[in-house]
Amino acid sequence: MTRDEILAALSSALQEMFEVPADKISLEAKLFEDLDLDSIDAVDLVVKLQNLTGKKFKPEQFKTVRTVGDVVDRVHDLVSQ
Amino acid sequence: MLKILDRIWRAFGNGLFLTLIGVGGSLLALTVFPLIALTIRDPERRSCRIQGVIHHSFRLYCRAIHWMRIADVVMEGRERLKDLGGVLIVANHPSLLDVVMIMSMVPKVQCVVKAGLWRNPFFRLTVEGAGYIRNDLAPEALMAACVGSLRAGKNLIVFPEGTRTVAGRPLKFQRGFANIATLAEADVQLIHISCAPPILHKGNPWWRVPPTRTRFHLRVGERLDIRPFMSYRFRSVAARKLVERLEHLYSDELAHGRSGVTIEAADHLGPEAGRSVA
Repeated sequence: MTRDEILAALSSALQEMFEVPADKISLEAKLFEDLDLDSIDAVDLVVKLQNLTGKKFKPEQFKTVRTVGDVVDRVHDLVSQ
Repeated sequence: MLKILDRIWRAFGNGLFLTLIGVGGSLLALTVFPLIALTIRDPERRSCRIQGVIHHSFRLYCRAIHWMRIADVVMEGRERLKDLGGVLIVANHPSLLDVVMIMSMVPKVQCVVKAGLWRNPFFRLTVEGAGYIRNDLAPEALMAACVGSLRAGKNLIVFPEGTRTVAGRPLKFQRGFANIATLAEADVQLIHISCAPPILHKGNPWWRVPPTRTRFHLRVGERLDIRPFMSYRFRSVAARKLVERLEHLYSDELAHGRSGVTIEAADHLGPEAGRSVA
């Protein structure tokens, strides 16, 4: 999966699952502050990312993630391992 | 003259009843609760019994406030709470006594309490014995504890505003309660509280009482079935819809002056606050 593909998948997940308006989604957008996600949402999101990539993630691997760009990078790293 | 005496009496009463929570709580913690802890070993039955004692004590407490004319306490629809099980009880939060009054209405109910109470050995026996949930758990653990007790068929009180209502500020609910309800798939029982003219509201010392006697009015509202919400494809969407629905229902009540802190309170904060309520 390329970064662009990951971003596209993440972006549609954010819109579908958390009712985030498309125009608020950017690589710099902070998940909690700007996109109004909470810690339970974060758990749901990790599960969704697993389904999208077919890889198994641990929630700890996303502990330091703050922005949309961070998620893309982290998923990209984990998928290409 | 009588009016002044009445006002002094009510200020004194406020202090008395706030003290009584501490003193009465300590007395029970020294006598009844250790006895229960000693005689009932099964933690489940023990917590039920302790919750029962708390319920009856608070019931007596609320009646005493009413009888002594410190404030009028009116409860509406109490009978609908008797056989509740596994339900998340939510309410707006105009005063310090809200949780006491709700607990006096529901025989078996849990709540999330300040972790500070665990430091006092007597209160620890009470809050731990009653199976209350401490608020200093990690967010995930707190959520799991709340969901666990609802799934086990217990009732739980949560104030969606997270803190006491501030008059004149638009209602804003936290999403925590909706996460609990959607994860546990628990129905949500609404309670509407009005406290007018306000006492013991946020930022107001206990001794500052309004010219006329306060009326606490607790009305048991709608019981929201969680199932329609669970038909959304994502739980996260269900939680958001639940927050919207409740904000709407409570704002409606507020707009009709049927719950919350009244405009008098808003006037107290200045004209700007008053306008946004009106």
